[in-house]
Amino acid sequence: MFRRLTHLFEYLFRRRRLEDDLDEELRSSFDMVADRFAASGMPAAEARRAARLEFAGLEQVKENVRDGLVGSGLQAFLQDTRYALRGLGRRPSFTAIALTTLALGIGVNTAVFSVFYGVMLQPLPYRHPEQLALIWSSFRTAGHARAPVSGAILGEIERRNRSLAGVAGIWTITRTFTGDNPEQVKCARVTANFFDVLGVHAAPAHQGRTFAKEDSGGPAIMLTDGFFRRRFAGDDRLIGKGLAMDWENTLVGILPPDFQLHFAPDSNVPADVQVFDTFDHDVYKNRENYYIRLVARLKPGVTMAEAQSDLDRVAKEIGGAYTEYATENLRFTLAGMQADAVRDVQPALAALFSGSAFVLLICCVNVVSLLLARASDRRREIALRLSLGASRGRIVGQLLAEGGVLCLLGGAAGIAVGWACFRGLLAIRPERLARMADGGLNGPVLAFAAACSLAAALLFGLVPAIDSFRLDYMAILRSGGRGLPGRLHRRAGAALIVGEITLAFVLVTGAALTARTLLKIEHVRPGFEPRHLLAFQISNGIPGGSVADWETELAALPSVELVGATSHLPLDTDIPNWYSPYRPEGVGEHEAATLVADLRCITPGYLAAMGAHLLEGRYFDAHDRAGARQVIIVDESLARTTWPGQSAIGKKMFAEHVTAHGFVPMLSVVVGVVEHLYSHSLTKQVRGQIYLPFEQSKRSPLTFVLRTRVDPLSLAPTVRRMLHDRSRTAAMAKVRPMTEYVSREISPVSFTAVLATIFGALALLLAATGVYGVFNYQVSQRRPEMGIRMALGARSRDVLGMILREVGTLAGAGVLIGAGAALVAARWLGTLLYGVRPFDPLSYGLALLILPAAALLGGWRPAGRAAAANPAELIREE
Amino acid sequence: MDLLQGTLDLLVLRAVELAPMHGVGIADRIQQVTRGAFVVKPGSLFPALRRLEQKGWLEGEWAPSENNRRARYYKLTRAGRAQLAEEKRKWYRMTSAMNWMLESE
Repeated sequence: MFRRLTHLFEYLFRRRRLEDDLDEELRSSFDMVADRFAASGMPAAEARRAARLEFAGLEQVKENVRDGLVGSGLQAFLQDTRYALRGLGRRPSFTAIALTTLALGIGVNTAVFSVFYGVMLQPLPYRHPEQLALIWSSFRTAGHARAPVSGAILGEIERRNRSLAGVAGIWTITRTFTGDNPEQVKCARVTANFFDVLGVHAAPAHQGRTFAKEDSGGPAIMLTDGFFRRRFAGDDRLIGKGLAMDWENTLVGILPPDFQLHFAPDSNVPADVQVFDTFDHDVYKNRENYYIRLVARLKPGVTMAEAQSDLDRVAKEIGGAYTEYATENLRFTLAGMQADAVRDVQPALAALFSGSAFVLLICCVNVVSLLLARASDRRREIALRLSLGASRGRIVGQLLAEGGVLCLLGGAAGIAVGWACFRGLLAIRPERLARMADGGLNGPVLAFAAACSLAAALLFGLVPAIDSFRLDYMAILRSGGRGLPGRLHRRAGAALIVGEITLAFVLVTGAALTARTLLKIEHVRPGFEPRHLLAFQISNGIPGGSVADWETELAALPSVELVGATSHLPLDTDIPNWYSPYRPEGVGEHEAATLVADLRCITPGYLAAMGAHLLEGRYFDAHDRAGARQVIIVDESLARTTWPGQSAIGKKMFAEHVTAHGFVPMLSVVVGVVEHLYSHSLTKQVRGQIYLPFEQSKRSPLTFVLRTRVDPLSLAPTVRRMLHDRSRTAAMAKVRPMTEYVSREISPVSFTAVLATIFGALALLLAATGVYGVFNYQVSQRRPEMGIRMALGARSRDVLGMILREVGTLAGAGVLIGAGAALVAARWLGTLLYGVRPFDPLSYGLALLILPAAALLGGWRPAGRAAAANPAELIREE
Repeated sequence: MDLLQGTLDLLVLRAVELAPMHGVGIADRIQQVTRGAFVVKPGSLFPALRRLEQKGWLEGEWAPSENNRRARYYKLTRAGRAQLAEEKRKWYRMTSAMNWMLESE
């Protein structure tokens, strides 16, 4: 290898010397042979002639030697490249169109891939992230396939597994930093080994540490870098000290600046936790509460499948050892941490990625048709060179070089376009795709762009090359290089148009379906009225009074209409969901075992303030207080499934209440039925809902909602001041208009819809220009035919009609195939759609109309040109 | 007799096995030893020499020839010697296979 390289080097840079060497060797050999002839008695002149005969043309010998050398290929390649550049320069409009098309295709793909890479492929910022996995439990009464676990189960998994290097737990709560500027923060409670499992160390800049085993249940806390800088100005002297907080604490370390939690939204572990503390050491004894989310690190060399079967065994053992799981069919599901975190966005991103690939394909089809047109223009040139003895290999090399140069330039321009598009996408990025910001133009993205260009280059070089292989050059030279492209080229052009329209059809229907989904979701009624609603969260109760007092004070504000509070605001995924079993009166324990509902504590005004419609009965009122009869309100879906055909009012059920002794099921009377408040997503009712009066079942934090007459955010300063007047150390958090929660749910959908629409529009434009390109060329090739037709009496109208009919036929074929392809693709799109069927007639109808129209538009000018020509001139040209 | 595809390399390597030789010498030797069966023309000899040199099996060096012309002498390298052994083995294997086929009943 090395030797070959040195030879290549010699060939390229010391070519002169090598040539001289060769010259001298050949000359001396020639002389030797001549000498020998002379020695056998030939006269000198005769001897030289004989020798020359032997060497059969010194130049030819040299040429043979050169061809056999390493590097001669490269030399030829450079020559071809120069030639290709000159050729492209001579046809600026062809070059411009081809380059723009390519840059567009590669650019769109580069941008979409950098999103895809940033979100889906980029490894999580932990040590060996591929060994990290989440463990979800499922059991009969969990009502959820991705349930968290209790401390006892965490302990059992830790003890019994053989495949994990470590298992850690996490759960999020809220805490308040007191002091001059009180602030409520998200706090993650973790097991002491949490950071060891992730492989995260404390930021070395601050001399701190992560949690140690002895910290369990102790005061140790850690802060994220951003929060530490913002609130404490990054003051290292605070490490080892206690901070002003509603919780006794000692700051032991700061997390590195790039640290972030990456969990799926439905795991209720928000990415922007600012504080970490530890579970009590007796957390492992808790058998009742299922709230701990598990992260595990696999032992090196252990595969996911092996670890999963190990956990299956552990689940069986626990089922045997704990009586409460005897009939529960306890199971654990292991999910790769990264895959789990992006599980919800994966279908959308995959669809967008395929959409952009389709756009690139259409771009390539357009450029191929341009190149084919050019190749048939160049047939005469190629035929001439073949007949003069150029090898076909050399000519194919040249065509490849032209494709290569085109793609290199197109790829470079595409990367620029891609970067610009990516900046644009960043601006409309939904919160769920935050990680795409780390995408950008990094190595893998550039490699992807290069791979796209290379694939295109091969395609572009090979298609004309294959065309040239089928060349009968004598026939072409005889015919003067014209007229023969005929059937073959027309068939290729037709195939390209049909292919292009097929692809465009899929993209246009995809765009229409996602756009209609977006419209539907924007108009969905989430069970409440999000406009004119301000929400904010307060933990640890209301200082200096009761919640009822505080609500009265708020309600007295002139621009406030209604006030209420809840333990779990719809669509707020930061607070771990509260869901529990319930049992209607008269239903046996066993039958009720799988009944699970979402529970929420609310104040009397909450449902009215949210704008939720009361369907039956009444809202809670001031009489529903502690010590009074236990009452509940249920949502419509729970009422309908539990007491079908009957009124739910007055019915009784056991529902979990929060008491001084923890979570206790208590017999409660249904006093009202409300519509379902969409809590987890705008499109899915996950579980039935049970509302408990806050006074009978107190939970913290509470989220207050104010129905306002003015812009909700304009009230924020007033409300803050009111709380501050009550206590200088109380804090509120997440002061937001309710519309923000809703738009956060919509933004991934609108991101998809915007991109899909862009793809659809691009596809239309490209299809129209593609049809134009192919027909424009064909018309120019078929001028003699047109001339003869017109000379034989066809009118311009007939010629126009003929060309447009051809366009129409091809478009019709493309649309038919496209409709079939779109039906297949739409089924796959199914999970991304809402409110429209995958076979939505409107979307298909739109594509059916718009695509043939675009094709006819593209064919219009070439057809017009053919029709406007003067027959006498056309024939004379022949 | 026409050269079999791929045998030229073997012939050249074998020709210089015993002592370094220049191009014309190599051609002569092949012709003599094969009793005139193989005549290697310069048009194929010189490309082959350069190719073998590039592969590192031959090493060319300028030296005065027997009648005092400057000539490029080719010497077998270590890699060349190994290659020759390998080619020989292959050749024997092939010829015996051919023989078995031709002499079979």
